[in-house]
Amino acid sequence: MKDPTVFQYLLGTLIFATSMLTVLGKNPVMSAMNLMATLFLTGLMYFSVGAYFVGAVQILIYAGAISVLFIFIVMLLDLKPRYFQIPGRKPVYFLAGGISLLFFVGLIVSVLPALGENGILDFGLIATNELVSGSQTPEAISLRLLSKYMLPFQVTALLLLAAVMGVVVLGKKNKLPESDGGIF
Amino acid sequence: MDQLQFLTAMGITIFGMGVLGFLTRRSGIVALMCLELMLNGVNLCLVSFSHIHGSADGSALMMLIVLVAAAEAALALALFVAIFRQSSSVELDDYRMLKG
Repeated sequence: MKDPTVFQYLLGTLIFATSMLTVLGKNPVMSAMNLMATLFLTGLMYFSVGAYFVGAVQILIYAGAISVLFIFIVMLLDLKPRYFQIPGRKPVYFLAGGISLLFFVGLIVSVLPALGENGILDFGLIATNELVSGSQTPEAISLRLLSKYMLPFQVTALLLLAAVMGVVVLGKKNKLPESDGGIF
Repeated sequence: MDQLQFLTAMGITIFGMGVLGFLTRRSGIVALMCLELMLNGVNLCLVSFSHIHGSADGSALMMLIVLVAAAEAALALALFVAIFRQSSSVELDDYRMLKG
């Protein structure tokens, strides 16, 4: 197994920075923009390991569709900027930070037994020679989806149908005459 | 540190960011964005494992996760727009009516 390339270290740094800005930014529009950058850079990370089809799907669907939906909704609702810190309720705040730190440190310790090896200065931009032949091609992935994962694939169709119906119902105007104020 | 460790660490980092934001941010839409971050971290781990083992299983699962994430984002955003019409707020602290 090769060491990570300089390109991957650079991508990792950028992903870290943009995801941090997504979480900590006070303006929801900037959060959405940074989310889009994170998703796009993750797609580039897929490219860097040779999973081109998966990277293309990531950029098309995640960075191209879902984050545009987020930006559209944030701009539609015209949300006010909110700072990251929460006034009062300090125990809850520290509990949340502690839980996520525990997740993070525990998982990192479990996968990184030995930090720091040589070969950091490997200037190969894309590690294509690591690609096992025919493992990440669209053909292999679609064969898996249509044979081994046939049932989840079909259930996903049901899920999408349910989501479309739910969005239509939620987006409809409330026609009930006695509804004043609704549930809130 | 080889590539698998690095990629897994990146996935865990993105997931941890998502957990932190989901637990601490009070805006519902930003919490949804953090949910997407968590899914993204899981996707990165799946694709790296799939790449290391030379099989397409992880990538196929990643496709399913992307579909679920798209459906979830569309539905949740429609829900927030519907709630915003009635209470003019997407702050999660403002939704206390369901609390007995």
